[in-house]
Amino acid sequence: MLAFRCGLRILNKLGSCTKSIAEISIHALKLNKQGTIVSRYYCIKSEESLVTLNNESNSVKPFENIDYDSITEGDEEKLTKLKRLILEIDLLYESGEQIPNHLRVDQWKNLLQLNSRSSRMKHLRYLFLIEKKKENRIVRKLEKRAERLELYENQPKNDHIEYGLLRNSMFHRIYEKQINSLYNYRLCEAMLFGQDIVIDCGYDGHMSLKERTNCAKQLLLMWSYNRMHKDPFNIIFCNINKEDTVFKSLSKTIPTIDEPTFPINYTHKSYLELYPREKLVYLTPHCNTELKQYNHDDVYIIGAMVDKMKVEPLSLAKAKRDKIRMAKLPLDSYLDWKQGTKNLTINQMLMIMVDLKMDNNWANALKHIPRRKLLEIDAYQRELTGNNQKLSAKQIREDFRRNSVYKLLIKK
Amino acid sequence: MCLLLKKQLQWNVMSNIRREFICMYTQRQRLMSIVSNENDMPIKLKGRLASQEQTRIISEFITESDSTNLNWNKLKESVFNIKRGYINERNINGCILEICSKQKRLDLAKSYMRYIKECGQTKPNTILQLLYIRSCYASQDQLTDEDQHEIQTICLSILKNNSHLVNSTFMEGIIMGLCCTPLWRNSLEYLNNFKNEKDIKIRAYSCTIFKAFKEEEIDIGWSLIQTMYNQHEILLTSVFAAWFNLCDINKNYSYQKVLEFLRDNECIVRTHLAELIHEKYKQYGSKITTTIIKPDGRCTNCNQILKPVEITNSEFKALQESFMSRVVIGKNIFNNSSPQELNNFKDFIKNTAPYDVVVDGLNVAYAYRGKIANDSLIKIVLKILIKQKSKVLLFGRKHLVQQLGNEFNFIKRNVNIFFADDLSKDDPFLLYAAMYSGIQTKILTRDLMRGHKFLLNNSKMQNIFQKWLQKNRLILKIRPQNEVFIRNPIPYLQTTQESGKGIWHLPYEEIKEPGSWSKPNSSPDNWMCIKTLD
Repeated sequence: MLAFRCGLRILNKLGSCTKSIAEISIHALKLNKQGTIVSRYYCIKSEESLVTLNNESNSVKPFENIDYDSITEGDEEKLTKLKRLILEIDLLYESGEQIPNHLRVDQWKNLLQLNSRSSRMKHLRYLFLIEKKKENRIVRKLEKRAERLELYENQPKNDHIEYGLLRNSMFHRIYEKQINSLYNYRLCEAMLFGQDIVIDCGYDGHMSLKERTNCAKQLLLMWSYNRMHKDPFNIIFCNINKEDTVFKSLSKTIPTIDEPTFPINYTHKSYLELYPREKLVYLTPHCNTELKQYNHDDVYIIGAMVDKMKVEPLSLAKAKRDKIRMAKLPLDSYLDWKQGTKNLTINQMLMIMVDLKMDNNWANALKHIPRRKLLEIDAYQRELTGNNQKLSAKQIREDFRRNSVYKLLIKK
Repeated sequence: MCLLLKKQLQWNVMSNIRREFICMYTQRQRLMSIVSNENDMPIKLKGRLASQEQTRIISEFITESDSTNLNWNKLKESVFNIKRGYINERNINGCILEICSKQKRLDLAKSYMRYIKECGQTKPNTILQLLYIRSCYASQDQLTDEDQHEIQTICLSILKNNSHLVNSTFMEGIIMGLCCTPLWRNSLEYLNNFKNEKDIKIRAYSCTIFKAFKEEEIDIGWSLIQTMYNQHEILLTSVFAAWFNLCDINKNYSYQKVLEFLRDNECIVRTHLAELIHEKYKQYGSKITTTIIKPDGRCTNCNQILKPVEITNSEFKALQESFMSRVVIGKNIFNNSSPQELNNFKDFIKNTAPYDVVVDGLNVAYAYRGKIANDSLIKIVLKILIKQKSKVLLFGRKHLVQQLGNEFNFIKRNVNIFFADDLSKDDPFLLYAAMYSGIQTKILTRDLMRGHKFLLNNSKMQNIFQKWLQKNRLILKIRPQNEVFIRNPIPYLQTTQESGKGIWHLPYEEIKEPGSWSKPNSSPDNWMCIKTLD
């Protein structure tokens, strides 16, 4: 009975678009309780719908209840543009293209911003796939629940107290809230006494829509990893503009971002206003100087930028203009690169920096680089044995260093 | 753990079995007729597989049935029996009409429209009407006068109701409809009045062109081909095939017009179109052979020399300006360089220009690495150039000095040198220095500069840049025994051209698979030599 109630609560949360599936499934569950055999296909509609279908078909339009006012915000020009867009999408929908059944207000707004027809098509297909994924997830959930209920009912029952997982136990349960407060305590300590690191969020105009949402996701991952670390950074988000998509989607995932008790720092100020120029070091993959070791006096800057489409040396240009020191990670002297660009995601960057800060050990810090980007260890050694040149002391030292990194990677 | 493993094993087995089941199921569906009623299906189909099945059912129904007895209800029922496909009651009408138009069954499309009217009582909506027009266009030759009249009224009424909502797809549908009727000239007006020219689709143009050639309005047709080429830079084989068809029917029209068009627009065609031209010209009695052009521009087949590349002074000046603003400076000068460095560079070329040859130091230094023993390639190249008594500018970055070592002193004495910062890009500066010093200055590099060409962002400018580079890029070659020599640039024009009376040369490119290499000097793959009878 408990499981059944839980399931209902999940269904309520899933929102209106899935209502039809939910209703059917509740129907199925009721049947199940009465003792009929559970069929796996409770999504099949009754035959009544087919009879009424022909009368409906012409009046049904692909997109109903579009909230014109909130999309256009009272702009006449936008309204005509939107109507044109709806006509275009209707045509595509009716000719059997892969178009989502429902579009939210923000999705309509995003579609209005796209200029070319092919980019709109691509975006619609992307939304379609997301919608289908969600639908499938719900169906799979319901199937699993039905299985679980069946299992519960068939289990033998005894009269005395039951022990085990999710039942009576001698251990006190540690709730998520308690763990959270521990993590937040560490973060607050870092804010008072810890090292600073700057995230430069001033690249919003250089990214496409998808890249911006990816960027926000990476920022979230970065923040959560830092929170869980033994010795976290005091992360400061700089150059934040509250109208930016990056910040908007970040605050969507962290609704309490503006509350004073939430441990996150962000300002609209530039890093030059916060720190003296000599202290700052911009981490960019495009420069030539390598970061030898972590210097606790310096403040490092990571650019919050995702460049999937075109790689421009934006962070290099920014550091050059502001006359800040630049550095890149010593990837070439420690690792053998196989494929892909040598720029890393924001969260990987922070993982490396936060581990490097602990003991200045590159071998330990560089294990966060994804393995697919590196040469296999046996390939690396094969190359070594194939070369029949004289080994110098320097070379041996270098090989030792590389090998130590690779051993660590394999452990991972 | 054990339980988990067991579960996974079970799942794998289940999924394997299911895959086989689906195959079996589709087989059985094919064997049984579609109309057979199956209410409970044992196998779950979903997603793309289910929708493929749905479209298969519809298309099978459409190919098999004749127009006498149609049971659309049953078709719908059997389609909806497959759950979780992409076709549902909202878009089934459109899907059926689309498949009708694909299979060119006008009669079925008509009867389906009648069916919708019958069961809906209301009029079908705009989109369905547009789709109906599409299917009418697909089976154009079956249309009677009555049908044409009907299409005409539909088109005009749709246009009247939605005049403020005209977009490119809508436009395309209407033009397709109008091209079936005698009112097709109206579509020209719509094409001209359409606000955003880039948005007009290729199909809208091609429909009108086909109709124009059919009605023997050749001027309209050719002007539309020209506008289509200007907008989309595409040469449709079907359009030219339509012109050849017209020439077959009416001997007054000259098939030469195709080649003249290609010559005027300086196109390089693709294999499909080249094959069409080959076939048609052979039919008209011209002599056609594939040929090879020698480096000096002589055709091996007919011994004619191809035209030289020409750039006018005004074009060159425009290229210089747009190159400076778009490529060297770009959006942000800090991306490529810094303002101070740019000023230094400008002062330097003002003082030392004009040069005879500009050498891309880094490119040459890294070329043929490991193939030449011991000697630095830069020194060899510069010696050759100095022997020819030409004024040379060596361009590179500062770290090139370390690489040159002792030879740097020799180079310093004989050559002008500009080294950019280690963090700056050198190619844009190099190209600009060559452009600045005049139209006759040559460049020595192996780079084709395609990235910088793209940044010009204007197809006309890109064209001029390509010609300029082809005319001025010296080619570095190595013969066996480490003998280095410098070959002169390609002098002849690499587009369609008439050389001598009635002799044409037509370059064409093969369709390349993604990832394959093109020729190292960006010249077209094949040449065709055409001797026409005149």
